[in-house]
Amino acid sequence: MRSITLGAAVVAATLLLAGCGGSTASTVDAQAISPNCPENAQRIAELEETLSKNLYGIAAADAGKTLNTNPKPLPPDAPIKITFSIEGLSHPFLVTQQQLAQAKAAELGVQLDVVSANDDVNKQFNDIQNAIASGSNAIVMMPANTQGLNAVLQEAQQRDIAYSFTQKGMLGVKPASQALAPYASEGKTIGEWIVKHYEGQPGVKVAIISGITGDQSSVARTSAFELELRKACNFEIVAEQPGQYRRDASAKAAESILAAHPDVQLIFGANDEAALGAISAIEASGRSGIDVIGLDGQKEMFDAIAAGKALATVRHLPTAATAVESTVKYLRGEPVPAYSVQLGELVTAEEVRAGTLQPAF
Amino acid sequence: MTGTISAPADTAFVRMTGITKSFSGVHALRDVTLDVHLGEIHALVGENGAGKSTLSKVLFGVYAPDAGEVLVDGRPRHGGAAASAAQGIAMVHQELTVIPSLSVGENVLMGIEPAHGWFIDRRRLTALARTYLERVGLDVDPRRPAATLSVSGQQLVEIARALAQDARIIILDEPTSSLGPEDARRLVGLMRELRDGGHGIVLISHDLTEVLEVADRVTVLRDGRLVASDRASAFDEDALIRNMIGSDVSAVYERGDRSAQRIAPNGPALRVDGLAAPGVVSASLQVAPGEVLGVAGLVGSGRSELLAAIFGATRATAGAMELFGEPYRPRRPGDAIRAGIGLVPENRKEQGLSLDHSIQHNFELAALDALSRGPWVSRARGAELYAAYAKRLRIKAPDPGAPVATLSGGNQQKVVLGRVLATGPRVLLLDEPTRGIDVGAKAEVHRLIRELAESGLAIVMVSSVLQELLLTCDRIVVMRGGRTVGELDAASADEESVLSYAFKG
Amino acid sequence: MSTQLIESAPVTTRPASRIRSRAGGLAELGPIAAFAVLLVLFAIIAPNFFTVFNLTNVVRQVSITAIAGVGMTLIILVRGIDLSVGSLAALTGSLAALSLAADPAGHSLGGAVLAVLLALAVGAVVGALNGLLVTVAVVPAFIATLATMTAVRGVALLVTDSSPVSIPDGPYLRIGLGDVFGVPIPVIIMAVVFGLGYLVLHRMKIGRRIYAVGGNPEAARLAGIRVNRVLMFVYVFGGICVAISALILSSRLSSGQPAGSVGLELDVIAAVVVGGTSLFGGRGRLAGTFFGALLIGSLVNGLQLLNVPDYWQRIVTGAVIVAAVVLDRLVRRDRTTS
Repeated sequence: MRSITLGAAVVAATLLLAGCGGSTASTVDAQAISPNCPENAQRIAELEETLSKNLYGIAAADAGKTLNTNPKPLPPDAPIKITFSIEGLSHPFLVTQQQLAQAKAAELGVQLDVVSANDDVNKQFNDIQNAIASGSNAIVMMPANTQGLNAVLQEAQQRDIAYSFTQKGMLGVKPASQALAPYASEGKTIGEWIVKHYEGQPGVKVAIISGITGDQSSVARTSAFELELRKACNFEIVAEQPGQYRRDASAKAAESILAAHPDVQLIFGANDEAALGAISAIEASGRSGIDVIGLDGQKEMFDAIAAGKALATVRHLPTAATAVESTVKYLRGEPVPAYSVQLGELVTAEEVRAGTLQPAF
Repeated sequence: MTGTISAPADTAFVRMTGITKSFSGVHALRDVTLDVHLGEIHALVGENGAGKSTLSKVLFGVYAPDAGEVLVDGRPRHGGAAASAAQGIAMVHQELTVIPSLSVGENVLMGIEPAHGWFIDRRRLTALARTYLERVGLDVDPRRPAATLSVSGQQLVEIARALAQDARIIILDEPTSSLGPEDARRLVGLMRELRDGGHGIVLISHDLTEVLEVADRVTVLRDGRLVASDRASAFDEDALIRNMIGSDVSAVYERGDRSAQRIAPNGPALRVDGLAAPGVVSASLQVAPGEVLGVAGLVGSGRSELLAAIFGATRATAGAMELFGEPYRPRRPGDAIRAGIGLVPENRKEQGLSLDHSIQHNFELAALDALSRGPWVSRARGAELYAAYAKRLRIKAPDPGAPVATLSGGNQQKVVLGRVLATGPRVLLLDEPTRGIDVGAKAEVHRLIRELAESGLAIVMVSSVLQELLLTCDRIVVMRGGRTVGELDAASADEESVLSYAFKG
Repeated sequence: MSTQLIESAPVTTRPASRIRSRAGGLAELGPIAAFAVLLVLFAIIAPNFFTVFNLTNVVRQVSITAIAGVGMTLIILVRGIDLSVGSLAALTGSLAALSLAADPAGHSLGGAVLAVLLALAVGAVVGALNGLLVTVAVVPAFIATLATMTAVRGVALLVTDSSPVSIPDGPYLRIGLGDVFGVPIPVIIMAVVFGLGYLVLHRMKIGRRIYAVGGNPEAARLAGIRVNRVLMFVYVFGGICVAISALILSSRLSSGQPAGSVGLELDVIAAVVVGGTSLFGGRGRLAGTFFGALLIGSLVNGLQLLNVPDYWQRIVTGAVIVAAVVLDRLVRRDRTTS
């Protein structure tokens, strides 16, 4: 696992968790927010506030530190049945998650049932209830939403059924372990790279296509990204429109952005689908010279980067295997980390050409 | 009972023998035999529910018989209704099947449109359609939307379609019931032409005069059984009626005894003065308590529209109305009902009844307020009220909880009439009260109308059947082009005098 | 004149209970039979299906679609449709959550009552808006409620800033999670709403008018019924039913979900149609809707207990919806052709 990222450390500092910060440099960085542009100060404070309440920042700060141990472990040779409740199966990444979980379960010799919530929290609530009824020992969850499942998780807890999270987590519950996606870190990583890329250019006009409205992952990515740009002072955020993490909706958002702000120079998609939607909108409008970046590192984005249509992305790594492994260990009575975070690599034309990195999915 | 069959059997194009069909255990047809020859008009008569429609639908392939055999041109009939055209059988339904959004020509040649590959050849379609339209005597541009045609025009389009499909046998189900006298006459002429041209025609009709005038042979059904089949010349109307209802009812068409119930001394119940409304240009009339006022006129002359305006179903745009001397201006049917006006609408199925729902519920609908305590419906009171009216109107229904669709036309009409009477009207508007009901029931409805008038109701009755108006009414007003153009004393009027107003104003 | 007729006729009253539509009686047969078959099948082949714990869960889960289904049944009976159900559930649930979160007394009984009343009022208002669009603006119900579906979702995202709103601990959470003598409160609420719906449809004037308007709007109009008032009633009633579902939903999820319940209307419509209510209006009963919802709910539950993969669950659910409707049609055919 990589060391704690700067973004996470910012959060850590805000949470007054300094002292246990993994890197002193980050603490310094966090306190050194006295940008040359006072007009950005208020927005920076807002973004920091947002990130401090965001689970993904908190997770990164604690990664690998706190350990959980099952007070009622199963006997070593007892058969284990786990239900993997996934938010949906309508995206290649989600299918990858499912496959990784199944492969890990097979490797560990445990039974794994997969149920899909079809992006509906209430369905997931029902799914988990049904999993409890079906006699599962543990539930691995990729929640459709960070709120709404508390009641059913309490029900699981009362019945001594362990649960853990993969990719997305929840606040205010007591999971065995959370193998979360590094959304905030990804936003920060690409933000930092952009700041370096445009170094010296004044008033770069940037538009953001965010993901699902209100979704914490989208908030983490866009806030961490915007924070870096605000601190650098030479960027102007001209628009932010939701694209629902979907290509068609993102293309529509990009079209209206291009119409309203013909002078935009950079479009940041909260995921690669959003970036690819922006690329098709730009091509349709016959414009050129607009930079596009995304996050996730999916196959088509690698192609777009190779073709010079996009600048960069960050590989988003699926964590279902880790989650399944931690859960099985927990059931058997071994101590497991409360949080684990795994940041993928930055991908630019250089990496794509060299072939050193493969698409995440 | 069974009459002799005149034509030699081997020339029959259609031979139906021993046809039996039942629905949910109830026999609709029992051992019925029917031959149809080319070059004849064969009429099927009987009361509603006697099995005429079922028999024709078996021939057309809508129903498969439970027992019996249908031979068409010597071979067993095969396939459903869709296979009829190929076997030379076409049917013009009572509910027309012309598609309004297509052109006349496309309707005529539906399913057999001339085409180049996947594309319709419009020029050829128009030309071909025109030849068939000429044969049925309909002089319209085949490119016109079918929606612009009148009912009779649409009917002719269906007949043209039958010809285009090269049908040998054409089944016509109540073809003249919705036509005015002129159109009906034209259609009768066309039927004769088709017969003389070598087609076989199966005519289902309630109009016995028409049947005897046009048909070569007549088959009478009663309760799903064949009761008589012979040359038309072997019957007169009384004989047909006797066969249809199984008893002698020579009194059916006797003119009621109408004592001089004229405008009462204390003024008319309803006065309409220069009323204009959608479909009505200017109409004036008055009707007194105890009087039956007939409204005659051709289809489209604004008769039904006049009743709709009086009832508040459409909004009057000019003119005045008075109800028992009080100004009356309804904004919606509820106002009319509260003011004491009831309407029995023209089309039972479309305007009168909710066919799937029970007799009881249909009956209670207009009088719900009277049957309820606050928002709650009293089932006991509803049942009581229905029982009272069922007895009074002689509604023949075994179970008021049964869907009203299971009743015969006459009994359905009585349910609507009972519902209207249950609201306690002082003025009753009747729009075609005997349409689509059988002979016996018609006479009963006529008798009821007289009884209601005698009990003090003022009645306005619209009918296309002049004989009915002359028999039932005290006075008749005639409408033409949305105006009331004349008034006649029913006792001294005859069909000719009414028609002269209707056509010439 | 009419009183004279009544008095002169001898009273030959039938027992009131016997006077009921045969059509309605048969309509229930399809969904009940299908549900019974499914119950027996799953009890045999699905492990842990036939346990009190699981069956209680199923009924709890089903209560949300079933309650909204009461309103939808009335709406479909008058030949209408309501596509705004999911959006309205999101809005009313979110507003209840916002009121609880903003109110310092949000964890008190008073705060809970306030939130419930707010949700019901908003449900009624949006229902009235649907009704006005259908009656006054004469927009077809499909389009009118498609428009409110979109707009109401926008309002839900706007008022919540598009984030879920968490609900503080308190009596409100008992709506979805509590029970009384072992009977889950959502099930009690469901029973009350169905009872109310039954009274409305079969004991009140408005019920007769609903069936009449659905069976034949023109005949109803000519019988003096103010059709628009009936339409307004069913849409407002429908909106309130959705709000009641939303109370249970938000309480279960301990949060208002402004982006949640997408497509709930389709589940509800499926339950109503599987329950034998005709989309052409005038025909259908609440009991059918209940068993329709139960059929679909227990199907999903049983398939999950059998560990059937998600894609297959959807395929089987679709097939069962079709099968239930076809079965219902077959049961009916015999009657309609006679």
